[in-house]
Amino acid sequence: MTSGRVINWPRCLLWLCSTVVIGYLLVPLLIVVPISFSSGAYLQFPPPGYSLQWYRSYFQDPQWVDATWLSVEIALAAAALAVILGGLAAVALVRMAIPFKAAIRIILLLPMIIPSIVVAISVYSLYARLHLVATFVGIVLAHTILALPFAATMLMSGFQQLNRSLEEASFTMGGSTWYTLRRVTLPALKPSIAAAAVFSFMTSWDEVIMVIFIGGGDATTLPLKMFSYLRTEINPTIAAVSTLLLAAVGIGFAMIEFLRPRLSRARSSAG
Amino acid sequence: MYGSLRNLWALLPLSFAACLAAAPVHPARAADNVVYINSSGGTLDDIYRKIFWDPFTKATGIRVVSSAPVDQAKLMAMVKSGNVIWDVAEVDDGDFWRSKQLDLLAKLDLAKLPIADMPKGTYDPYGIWENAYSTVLVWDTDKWPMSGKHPTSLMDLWNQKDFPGPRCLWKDAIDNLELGVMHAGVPRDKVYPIDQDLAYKQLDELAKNVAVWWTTGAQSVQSIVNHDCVMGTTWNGRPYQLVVKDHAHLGVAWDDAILHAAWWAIPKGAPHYDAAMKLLAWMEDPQRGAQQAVLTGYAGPNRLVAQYLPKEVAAFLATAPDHMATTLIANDQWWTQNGPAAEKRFLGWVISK
Amino acid sequence: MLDAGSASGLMARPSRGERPLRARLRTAGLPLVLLAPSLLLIAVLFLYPLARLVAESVTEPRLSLANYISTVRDPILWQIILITLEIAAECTVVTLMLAYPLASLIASLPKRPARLLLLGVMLPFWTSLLVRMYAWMVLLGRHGVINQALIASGIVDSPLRLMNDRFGVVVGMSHYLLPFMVLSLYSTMIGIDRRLLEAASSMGSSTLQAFCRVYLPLSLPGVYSGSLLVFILSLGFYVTPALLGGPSDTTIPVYVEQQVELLNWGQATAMSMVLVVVVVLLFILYDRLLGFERIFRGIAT
Repeated sequence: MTSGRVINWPRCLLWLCSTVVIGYLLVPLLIVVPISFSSGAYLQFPPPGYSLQWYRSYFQDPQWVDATWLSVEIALAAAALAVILGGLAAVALVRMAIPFKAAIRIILLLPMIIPSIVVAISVYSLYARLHLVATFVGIVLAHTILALPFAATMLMSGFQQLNRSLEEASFTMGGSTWYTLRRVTLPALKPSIAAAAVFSFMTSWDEVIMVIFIGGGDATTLPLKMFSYLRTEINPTIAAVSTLLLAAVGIGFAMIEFLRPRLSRARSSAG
Repeated sequence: MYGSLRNLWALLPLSFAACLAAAPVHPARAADNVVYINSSGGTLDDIYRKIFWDPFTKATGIRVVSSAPVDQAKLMAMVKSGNVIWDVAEVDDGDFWRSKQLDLLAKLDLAKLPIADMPKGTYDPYGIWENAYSTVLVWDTDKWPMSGKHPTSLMDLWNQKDFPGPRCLWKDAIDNLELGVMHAGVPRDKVYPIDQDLAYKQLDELAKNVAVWWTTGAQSVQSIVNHDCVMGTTWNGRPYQLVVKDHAHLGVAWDDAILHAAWWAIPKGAPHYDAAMKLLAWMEDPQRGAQQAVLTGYAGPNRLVAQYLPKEVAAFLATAPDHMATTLIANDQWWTQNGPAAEKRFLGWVISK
Repeated sequence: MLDAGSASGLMARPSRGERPLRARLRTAGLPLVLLAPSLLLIAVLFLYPLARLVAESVTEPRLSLANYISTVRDPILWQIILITLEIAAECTVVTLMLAYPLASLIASLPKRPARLLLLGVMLPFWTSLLVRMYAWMVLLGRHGVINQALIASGIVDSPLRLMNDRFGVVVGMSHYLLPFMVLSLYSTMIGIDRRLLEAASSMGSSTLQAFCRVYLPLSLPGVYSGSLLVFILSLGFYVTPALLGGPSDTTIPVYVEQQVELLNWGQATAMSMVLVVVVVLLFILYDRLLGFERIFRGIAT
């Protein structure tokens, strides 16, 4: 949007709309965080009093902490795998001529369309035979499949958007394919890769139906543990878990922002 | 999160290594010092662990690994695929009879269980009661305190004159059909087979005042706590835990309640049958059963439990004698046979409300 | 993996006219190599088990299409499909309307504030869906925060029905889906060259014209992929409509899950297949009608 010396009404409007939307996104968090400090025994808002009991119950129960770590590990692995596989597929689908392109795109989208409970019951017997039930690898593979549609779609739109002239310039100036990939293409794709990674992570992070079937026992993820609580009682421990995660993300982000100028200085000085 | 790509590449092998190092491996199944049990989970899980499973491990050295939630489809998938993970599974109500029909359960060694102390109907060659629970009426005592006029029966769901306001009902045919025909005046012993047309006539009237059709157990009580409804149906353990432990403003009415049961069963092909039988016998012990009743509000089938119970708790149980006098016992066989069709009809009915 | 000699299609090498057939055949291998891992994974761990399930649905208890016939004849299924598609469409439109301004703002900001806003957009992700839904129950209930605020400020006299009907469902679902739409739009918008807009305005077009003629078309790939993702994601929701919606907000996953738990797997599979057919048809329609393929080809060259 252009800026001029007069009041930029379109831009003001843009800021106004954006503020409203961000408010909409963050308002539930303003409910969840206070509830996590509630001294009451069930979900009440506003809380009758404040206490750290739910945080205590979270940290004291090794199952909660184990479940959290397991979910993080599974989601990281599934996201990495989905982005890599989805990226490869996206390159092929966007840049190359292959037969049945439309059919392949639909197949890549299928895991998102078919209700996951049907996927779960069908995958279960296969997993049972392969002894993948309640294993880390099994859940990661299943979540990768569920995340692939996201990763592939995001990366496809990223590739489509890519300004090919930049790559062409790199080639004409003598850059190898690998160099171009590393220094031109991938950096330009950063937003799409990041978005694909985030979506894939979140798909795995929140996924509960498949895990009910192929997880369980020692392979209990956080959503699975929360799910069984919410079925029987609405326990504010899950609000505490959520608040902790928010804090972790917030702190992680702050650290990255803080370290970023130092990292880029180090990188630029290293050449 | 949007860090430079280079940092991300560095993180990847590290996270992979971390994952592999920490990967929980499925424990060796052949070892007979472990038993896998699947139940509803949540707070019940925590309670069972305290009163049943940890003491069991202490006494016998057999580790108890629990999982949740109860899932009928997973049970079937497990048994059909021949790779059974659960040694003991909680099976609710009609699902129990359906599982029997589909040959998903192993025969129990009833000699090892205290069935002499249990009423008929609470045990079966293929299963034994975990607990009994009733669908009861719960209401907001801020509106109608116990000291004044207050709802006393599930039939008061229709009573807008004395107790006006929105209701919350289970979005399921179970219980609602029974309540419907009972409100039409059908006596308890003639409820089954259910005349569904009659039920729906009554439900049409009731539906006008239903604000929330709840789908998860915790939702109905939460709706009343949030004042989205003034009264609704729920299972007796939920308000019990909230009222007795946390002094929530909830009242419970027992007249015309409907009794259900949850069963413990052993899936066919369970790998640790003997350990499973041991665990079942352990859980049906009357003293532990009393603890179960006190902490969860749900009692097991063992008659001897009653002698270990404090009076106040006994009054809350589904199987308490004064409650049983006005309670309808759900006919699981009818539901097993007619369930799918009834549920379909109900869903078609409720989406038009 | 990437050999500079053979990878002619991967990078945008300047075209030297029609490539000889031999070269084209040689490089036909590469796309398959790239696609192979994804397709293999999906084929083995997803399509194969699904195919077995479908096979069972036509062969048990004996070979017949009974499951499919009764499913297609089931009026409730079609009602629920319609409801699900309605909800998905409403959520897609709402998230698009809400996300577009936000995404374009973020794309226009310098890096630091942009990253901060993106963090804000993604923060809700870290609270699980279930917890967020309960937060919405607190907000939207009859005596919830919003109603209390409205009544206290005198805007309304009696509580508004914000929950247990379609409004609550759309609000709750859009809240979950918004970050997906924002990120999709953002990742496209960030690639839009600002100088094009400046050029347009320097040539005399108003802000509105510059937007409609330059910015909007360039942002369409993001709109397309975002809407597709959000729409298809919406089809799979069952928790939010159950907690925040009314009885008529029953979605396909609920119906399918009911059948699965009643052990009617043949029916459940048949329903899922019907859903897939409906969605694929819609997808093809969407593609054709809005001509996005053309737009993509236009941008890529």
